[in-house]
Amino acid sequence: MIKDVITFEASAKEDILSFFDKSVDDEGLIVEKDNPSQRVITLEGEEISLKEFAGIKRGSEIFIKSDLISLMNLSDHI
Amino acid sequence: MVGLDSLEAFIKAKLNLTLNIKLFSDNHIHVENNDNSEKIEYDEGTKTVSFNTKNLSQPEKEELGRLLKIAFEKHNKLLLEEKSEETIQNLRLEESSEESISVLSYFKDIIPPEDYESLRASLYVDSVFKKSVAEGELSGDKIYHLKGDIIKKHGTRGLNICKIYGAGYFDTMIRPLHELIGKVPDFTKEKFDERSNIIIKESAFAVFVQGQWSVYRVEAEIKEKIKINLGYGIRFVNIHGIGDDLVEKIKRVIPNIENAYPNIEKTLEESVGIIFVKLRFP
Repeated sequence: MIKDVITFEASAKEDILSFFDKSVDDEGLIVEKDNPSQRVITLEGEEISLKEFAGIKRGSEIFIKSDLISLMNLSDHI
Repeated sequence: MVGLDSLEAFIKAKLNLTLNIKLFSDNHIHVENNDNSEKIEYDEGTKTVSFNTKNLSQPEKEELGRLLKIAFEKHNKLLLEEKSEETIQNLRLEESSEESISVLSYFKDIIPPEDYESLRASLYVDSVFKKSVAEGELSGDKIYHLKGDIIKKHGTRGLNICKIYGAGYFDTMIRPLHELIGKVPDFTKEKFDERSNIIIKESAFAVFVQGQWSVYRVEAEIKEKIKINLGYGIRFVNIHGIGDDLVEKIKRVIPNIENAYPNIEKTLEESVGIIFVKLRFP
């Protein structure tokens, strides 16, 4: 287990997003719960879908994608 | 709040724990949503508190969310999906191996940062591939998705790096080329950059046969690569294939290539669904 990590299983993704006032729009993209037209973006400025969603890092809520390169870069900063 | 009271009572009575932020900072917290576990479970061995949101009432869920946010904001906790956490752990394990340290430290400052990122990812893909071979099953789907992740970020060049690393060409072509700097007069870093760029662009002058290629496409790709290689003065072509289907396709095509180039010398190695053919021009 990596230190200071709260883990969640894939089936709890929407609960986690909900705790952070986010929801998922019709296209499967993560959006602000109170403003569904505002899509959440990653540090690289990319929209992020529920399927790609891997987690959230502190620093104005940095949303992380689950692809190998994103996780490799995350690994360097935790 | 009846629901929350019941959660606190549940934790205290069943787990001898108290629902507060200390619980979140002193233990590993896991959140799940399934039909298989109680609303809260505690694993003393790993000090893991698992919350099952499916069995929590709305007030209990809200309290969980409030505490998670405090843990996130005040205690600098990272929220990570368990498979991604596992990938990071595997990645770190792979990158701590002697071989990875040697490869990554050697190439870190001599290839462009984007290529280095592809190389790092390629080491991981290669380790997953080798593990699946050792376990007796070629994990095609997993490898396909990991390669897809590299392509999404670094395109065909990233994929080429992945293929040529997996086939050993960083060790047998790019590293020896770099070692020429300072040994061969006029062989500068600029010349290394230029030539290593060609090696990457041309997939190390090799053909990596892909699953969706027809037999005709395999033959056409090999002939095209022979033409390109001879243009660079490279008098050989290596052919790689993984999977029983590709092994068969390559074996069907080779006689046609030998007919087209009668002087060619062939070396063929085959084992557990992996084939390597070297064709040399005398």
